[in-house]
Amino acid sequence: MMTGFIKSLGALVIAIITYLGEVFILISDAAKKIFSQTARRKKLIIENMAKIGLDSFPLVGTISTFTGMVMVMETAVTLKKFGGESFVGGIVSVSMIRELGPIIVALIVAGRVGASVAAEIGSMKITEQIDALEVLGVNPISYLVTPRLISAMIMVPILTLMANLLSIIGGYIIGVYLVHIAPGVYLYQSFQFIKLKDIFVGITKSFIFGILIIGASCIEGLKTSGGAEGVGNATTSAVVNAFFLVILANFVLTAIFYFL
Amino acid sequence: MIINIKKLSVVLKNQEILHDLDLEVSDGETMVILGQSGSGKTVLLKTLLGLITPNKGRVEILGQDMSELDDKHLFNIRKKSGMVFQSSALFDSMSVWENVGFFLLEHSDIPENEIRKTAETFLEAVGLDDISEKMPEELSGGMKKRVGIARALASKPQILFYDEPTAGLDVITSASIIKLMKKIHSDFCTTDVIVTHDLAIARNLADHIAVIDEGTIVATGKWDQIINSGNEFVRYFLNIGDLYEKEGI
Repeated sequence: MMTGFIKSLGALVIAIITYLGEVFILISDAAKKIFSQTARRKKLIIENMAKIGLDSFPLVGTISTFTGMVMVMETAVTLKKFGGESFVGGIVSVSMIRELGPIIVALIVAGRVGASVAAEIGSMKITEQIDALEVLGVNPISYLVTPRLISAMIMVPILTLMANLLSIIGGYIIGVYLVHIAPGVYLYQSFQFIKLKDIFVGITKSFIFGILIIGASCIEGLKTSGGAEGVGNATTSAVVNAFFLVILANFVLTAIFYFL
Repeated sequence: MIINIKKLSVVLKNQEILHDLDLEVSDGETMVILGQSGSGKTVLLKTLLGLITPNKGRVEILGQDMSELDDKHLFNIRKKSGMVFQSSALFDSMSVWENVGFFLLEHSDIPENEIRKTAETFLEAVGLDDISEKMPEELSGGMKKRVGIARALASKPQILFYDEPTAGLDVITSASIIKLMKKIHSDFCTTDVIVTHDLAIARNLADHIAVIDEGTIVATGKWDQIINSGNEFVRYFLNIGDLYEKEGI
């Protein structure tokens, strides 16, 4: 019984390490080509920036605005008991900028973009389009992964900055008009506690999350086999694995920045 | 010999797909590799293009051992080869002319409008006019095959590989594709390697035929020699009437 459990646990750990290794190799292969491909693949990069950034913005904007609103409502109730509701703005802005903003954006992008990237590359794989790329002398990683990687490295941090701003605006609306905190006090508290380091932490996290989302979704697309069912499985795995990688990376990065 | 394969073995997912396979293709000839589904035809073709690495044996194309080539030299071989895929494998995010001109768009400094004109010339060569702006999803199966052939021709290849060129097409469209392949062979002076289960292709196009069964070549020769082969599988494969009788259909 115990031996079986240890064996299963060992197999799981090996599977996770192997998977992380595969993602790392794919990302480093794609990253090696960033400088040679950026000018060459401008059109593809811009198309992917639109898909990752512009197309995700309505969802990211709506969710982050409402998150800011909800956070103010929830924290204000508790802080009011101690007469500390004026600190609500600070709590919301710091937690959004350091922690929630990058995570919310990463999970939205992983769900929206990760699924579509895995499906697109997966269907290219099963219809032999990736073989065709190779036969035509084009490296599939530099053509399919590198432009997406560049786009995500730019757009996920930008989306995170926008999400942070919108959550503060959402919080402001509730804080000022529902909780009746003076506008000046709310804004002062919102920005008083934000340090440059907090912004740096949030942006660094979202930059790394962007890389991991593209790594997880591209690898599932490139590994796709079978027919339509294979594409479906790749899409599901891409989203689940991207979520896992984002949460794992968030823990590691938070720990690193805690000690820095 | 433009292609020379010696004792080739390929194992995929713990299953031996090709086993001690020998084959030679001469410059300028049309070699048809005949076999039933699952016999290893496509794996053989992908191994010839360096898409699959063999476990054993030697594959020489244009005098170069494929297993010893780095990416740069492999590209030089691929530049001299064109491949027509079974599913056509057209890039569905690109228009027809972008598909045909893809090789030039990627590997030359020729202005886009000139590449487009060149692509349209290749499209005319395969009997397609006024479709350069269309997307692959708007094309019929036969048109996709023709665009696939035009794309393969764009690198001006010495060797053309065809994977099941008539699969999924009706008899009339198949006949037109066979006619087109014959025209392309003579107009572009290519060496053609065609893998198929379609006997009409073997009968009408082949200079030589190799019959593959369970990953190994069981008979080679001209059409007349193949139809008189003493090999049991070859007789079984070529004689559909007997096959239906044997299967009790």
